[in-house]
Amino acid sequence: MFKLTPEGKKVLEVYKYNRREFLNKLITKMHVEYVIPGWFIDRLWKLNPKGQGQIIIPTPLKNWNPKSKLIEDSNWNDEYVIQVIKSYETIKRVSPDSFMIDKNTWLNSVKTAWERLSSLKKKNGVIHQKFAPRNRLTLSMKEAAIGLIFNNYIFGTEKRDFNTTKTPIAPRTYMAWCPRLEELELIFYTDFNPLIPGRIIFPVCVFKPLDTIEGYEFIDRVKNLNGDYLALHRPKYEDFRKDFMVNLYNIYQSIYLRNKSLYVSIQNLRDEVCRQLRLSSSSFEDFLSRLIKESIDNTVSSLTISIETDIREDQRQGYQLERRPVRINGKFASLIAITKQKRDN
Amino acid sequence: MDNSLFRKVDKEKKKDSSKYEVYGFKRNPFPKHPGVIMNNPDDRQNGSIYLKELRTSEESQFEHILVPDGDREETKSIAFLMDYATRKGRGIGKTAFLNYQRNRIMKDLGDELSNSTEVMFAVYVAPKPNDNYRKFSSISKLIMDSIVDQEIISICICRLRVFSGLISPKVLEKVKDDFIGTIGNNEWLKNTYKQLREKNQEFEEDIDILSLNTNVKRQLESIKISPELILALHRFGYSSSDIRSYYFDKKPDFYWKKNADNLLFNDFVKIFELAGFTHGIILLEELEKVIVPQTSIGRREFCDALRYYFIDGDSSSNTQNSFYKILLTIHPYLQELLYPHWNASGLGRFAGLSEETSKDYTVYFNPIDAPSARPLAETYINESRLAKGEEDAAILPFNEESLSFALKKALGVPGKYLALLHSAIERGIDEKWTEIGIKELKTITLQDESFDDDELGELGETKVTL
Repeated sequence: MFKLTPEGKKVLEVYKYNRREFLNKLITKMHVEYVIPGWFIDRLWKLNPKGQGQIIIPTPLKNWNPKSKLIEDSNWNDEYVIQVIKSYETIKRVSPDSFMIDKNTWLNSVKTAWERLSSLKKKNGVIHQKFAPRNRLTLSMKEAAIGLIFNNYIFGTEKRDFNTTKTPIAPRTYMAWCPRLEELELIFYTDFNPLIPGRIIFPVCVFKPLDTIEGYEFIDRVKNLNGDYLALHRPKYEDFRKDFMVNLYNIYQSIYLRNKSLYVSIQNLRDEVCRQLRLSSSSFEDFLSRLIKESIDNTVSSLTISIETDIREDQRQGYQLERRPVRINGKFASLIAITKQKRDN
Repeated sequence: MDNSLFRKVDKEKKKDSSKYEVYGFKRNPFPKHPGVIMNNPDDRQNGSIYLKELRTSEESQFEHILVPDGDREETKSIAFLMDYATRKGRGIGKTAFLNYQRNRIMKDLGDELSNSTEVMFAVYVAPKPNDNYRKFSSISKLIMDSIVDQEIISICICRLRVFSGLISPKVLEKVKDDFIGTIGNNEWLKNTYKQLREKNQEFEEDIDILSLNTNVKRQLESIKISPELILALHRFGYSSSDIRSYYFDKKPDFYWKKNADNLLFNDFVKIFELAGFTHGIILLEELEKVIVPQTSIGRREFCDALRYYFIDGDSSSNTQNSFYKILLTIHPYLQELLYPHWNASGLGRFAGLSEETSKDYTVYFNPIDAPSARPLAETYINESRLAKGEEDAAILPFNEESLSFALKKALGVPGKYLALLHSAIERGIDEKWTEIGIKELKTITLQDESFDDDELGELGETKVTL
């Protein structure tokens, strides 16, 4: 049985009329209880200050799909080494700062993780005959990356963040924290960037000195060691409208040119717009809904935006189904087409 | 006739050619479709604009493997055309290449290529989509269809008329390139005799079509082939469409299932040899349409049949003199699929499919490289130029850099490259470009341009700094 405290009841009331204020209170509470929200954002910014806190948790390249293997045949071999290096080199070429581990450390850690996973005894006495190398390598890479990137100390330094020998975040808790922090509008992440084998994570908030800066909302209970406060990037639609519109159209164009079909995946568009503009998914949904409304009114907007709910075949496959959907005015959308109107005068 | 219901349109007249004059062309010099359309009247489209130099190594490899010329030792009965480009997109020029080789052989029945040591024909065979080729007999039928459609059988029958000795040498002198329209045409024969008689008082001969046909029939009967086929050939043999409609299309599917192999590898071979042919080269394109839908057992059967009919089957006339030579167009994936069956059926000893031995049996087909960009474009431009230019003017409105850029953009695939130049010209006229450089080409996207994920480069810059 759960019971709400008087404070909890108050917060629930807030949720009814102002979702964002509710989120702010939730962020504060989560931070006080777990420290993870503030720490995670701080760590991201420290890992890649040049790239605004963007990091990549690698996976094997998409085109590597080996057949399943017998459980006895699970030794680490050259094929896996090649795959790890291929994925590593792709990431290093596409976004060099987003993955800060050197090649040898990375290879060794993935190998260690692989060997640990391969030696695990099955729970409940279930014995499997076969295993899927791609899955296992993905898991190994995740385990290795979490261990190296989100360890108690920053990779390459000695100073510990917490006075404990345990790691603050384990692969399993990481899996839960990504969507949580995403929903709290602290980070954005995607597994579906066409260029990157792996998950891109970046913060949509930053630690700043407490001040009234336009486009940010401060959480005054979450502070880092420099005395800066957590500031969420939440620009107002009216101020941000033009930037949003221009970038939305340009990014749509680049995706369209690659796919050659007028309707493109709205999730792909969302991922890239959010990355370039450092927006949370809910800001994106909010801005897009408003822009669509304007385009229907046909007064201010020069764009014609069409939204479709048909699910294309490539959006229907396995893992894609777990992808965060885009909601426009409360409805799930899957495809989007944007065209520029040619005005007569 | 003002009624629009009676109206006819003259497509040629309607075309506005003047708009290309800004670049000094009488039309868009480049083909609109990035593929060869056989028998199309448009020379940009049917593969007759052909830059020989582009494929010299492929061509000599082709001759080396398939065409005997007296000096050359043993040629191969089964050979491959390995297409490296299939995974990069179509339009590498296979069809144009095969078409060109076919025409080269057919123009003098292989006289020049073989140093007059052989009489050859070449037939181009492309599997049709949706047809199923699970049985080898359906492939045999397909080859026969192509032999008939490409008038090779008709040429045979015409040759038999010539060999009959019933046609006067004076008449034979009048025959130039067109065999079927002259020797095969009864009206032409009668008229020519008539004309000769009118011109020359001493010439008193006349042609008896009936005895000519009977003679051809006797010749055919002497080689003991199917009487039904003899009848069909002697009656309709001179017209490929007639043989098709009155013999080939009349027969039900099960007839072909039972007889196609035998007809192609026995009866047809006997007819060809009777007509003086020594070899026939089958250029089989798109083998993947045959192999990929097959089951494992089907592939094995295919390999077994290939060995039986082309190499060492003792009941087929083909194998006695290795009459047919077949060139199979394959690509690396198909090689993987076929390899186990190929060796299991013992074909590996006769035509190496594996890496080490394949070079003796394989014509490798590669994407073209940068230095070929200009000559290829120039070949096309010259066919449409109003007044020929010299040096750099010869490739206007393009320049050397923009042409090699275009080729790179088309990934070295000539078909795509030419289609890109086609749209560049159209776009250039619309946008009034005076020349087409790299900058202009960048604004044009290929119809089926697709990016490989690893070729996309870096992530886009972020536009907001927190």
